Amino acid sequence: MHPAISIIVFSTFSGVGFGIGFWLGILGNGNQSPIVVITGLIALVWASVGLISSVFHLRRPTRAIRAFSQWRSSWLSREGILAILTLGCIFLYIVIRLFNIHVPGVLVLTLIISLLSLATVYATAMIYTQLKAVPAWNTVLTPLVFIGFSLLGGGAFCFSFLPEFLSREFEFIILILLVGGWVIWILWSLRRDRIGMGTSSVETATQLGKLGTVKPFEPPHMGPNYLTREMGYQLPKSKSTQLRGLAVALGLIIPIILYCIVFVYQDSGFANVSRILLFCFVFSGIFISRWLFFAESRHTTMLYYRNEH
Amino acid sequence: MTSLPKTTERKLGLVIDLDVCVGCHACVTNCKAWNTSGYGAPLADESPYGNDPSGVWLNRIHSFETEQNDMSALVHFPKSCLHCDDAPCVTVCPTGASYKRVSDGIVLVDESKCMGCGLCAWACPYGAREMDPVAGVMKKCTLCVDRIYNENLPEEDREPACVRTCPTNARFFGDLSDPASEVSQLVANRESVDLMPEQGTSPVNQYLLPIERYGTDELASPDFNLASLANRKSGGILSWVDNLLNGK
Repeated sequence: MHPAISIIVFSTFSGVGFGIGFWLGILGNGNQSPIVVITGLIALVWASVGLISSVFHLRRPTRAIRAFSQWRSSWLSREGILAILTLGCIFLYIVIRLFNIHVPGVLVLTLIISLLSLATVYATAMIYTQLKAVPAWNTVLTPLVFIGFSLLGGGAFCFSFLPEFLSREFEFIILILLVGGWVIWILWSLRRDRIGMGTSSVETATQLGKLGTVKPFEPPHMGPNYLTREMGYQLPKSKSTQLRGLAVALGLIIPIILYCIVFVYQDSGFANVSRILLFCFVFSGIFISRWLFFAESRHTTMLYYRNEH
Repeated sequence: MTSLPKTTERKLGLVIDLDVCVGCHACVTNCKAWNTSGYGAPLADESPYGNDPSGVWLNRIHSFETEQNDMSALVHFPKSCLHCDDAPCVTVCPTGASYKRVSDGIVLVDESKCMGCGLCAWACPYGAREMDPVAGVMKKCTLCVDRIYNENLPEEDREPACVRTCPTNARFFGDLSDPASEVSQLVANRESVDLMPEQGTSPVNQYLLPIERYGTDELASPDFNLASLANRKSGGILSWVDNLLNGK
């Protein structure tokens, strides 16, 4: 699939934003410092950048408002509604904390923020997971990858830039999320290599199997078309291996080293720089992995166009 | 609403005879000609006379080579929207632009609602939907909805442009829910198939597989006697040639 930058920015930035939203809901009430308000604002910014980026993928962005209408059947519609609801709840919570308004049910509101944040990321993942035509995406591992990286991205951001918010007792969570998130992604990648076109093949696509082996002889036109540009993206195997290695190195291995430095050289300048670098590396790893999520996944339409297995 | 109807009153669709199609692209051309001036936005072309021409087509013909026992065959394979009963392109649409009609089962796009996100094209396993680069909305086969009910046209023209133009009669149009219709009869009497049944889309359009005339095993056999094909009992063109050469 064509790795469109607008969609990669959409899912990675909103993932981090709603990841921060999740941790805001979990840890917000236990923290009396004004850092909670700043954390909430940062969550809003990340998620909004992602959502605005998704609009750039539309050919008719002025009609985007219609996308909220089909929640009964469409995951894209559900994602839009959940995102707006989550942003609204985070905004409400920020106002309550900023003006120290004493209202009952704040605890419920924070719980709702966490749940909605998770639900939004799940809905984002389901936009891709639901597509049987892309067998690499059509697995329960896809929402797990999206949710894992969202919690990791949000948690790592708090660890790096808002240490006052992510209190010391919770810093160990970063290590769990780091390892957990990347293990799920590696499992997803290994499944992708194995699944190929799933149960579809040129024989099922043409049903000509009874005439023997089938292979595409001539495409409909000499040049590329919308379908081959959108769904025919091909990443050479060698490049895929390199980029996977790069994603794991940047997103997992270097952050683990930085994490250790932060704890060995507590509160020194070296530790503080390492702390900030941790999120930068984690996010660049997630970004490359999301690029690969699109670039490596293949669509059954290409069975009609070229030799695919 | 982009929820699919439980049932449709009719199932209008195409039956495509792979035994007959010669891959002439007349259906492709007439489809483009009709639909660029018919329902909805014109089907745009990008740099049609430049180095890298590209355009939107609602019907495309692929060709496949099959091989068995050193015998190969070329099969021309027209492909357009299959108007699936369980169309995944419809349910993914967030704006309500995509829908399947209850009255005749045609899958359509309301171009005034489409925001051009492209998700429906991703959802279609067959590649039946193409984004118009100029109008910025999704285009797909409408089964020539502006022909088949069009009372301004002579009755014989009230069928999809591709069917009307096919010079070899490889394409048929009709109601596949009516067992008495010509298309249902073809499906019943020939080996007909759904494309990619494993995708669970329940396509309405049916493909008739090439008829096996001589077993490939038989042809590949070293003992095979080519002259036996001219056996007068076999009829058809070979016996005609035989009769001609024998001066009968």
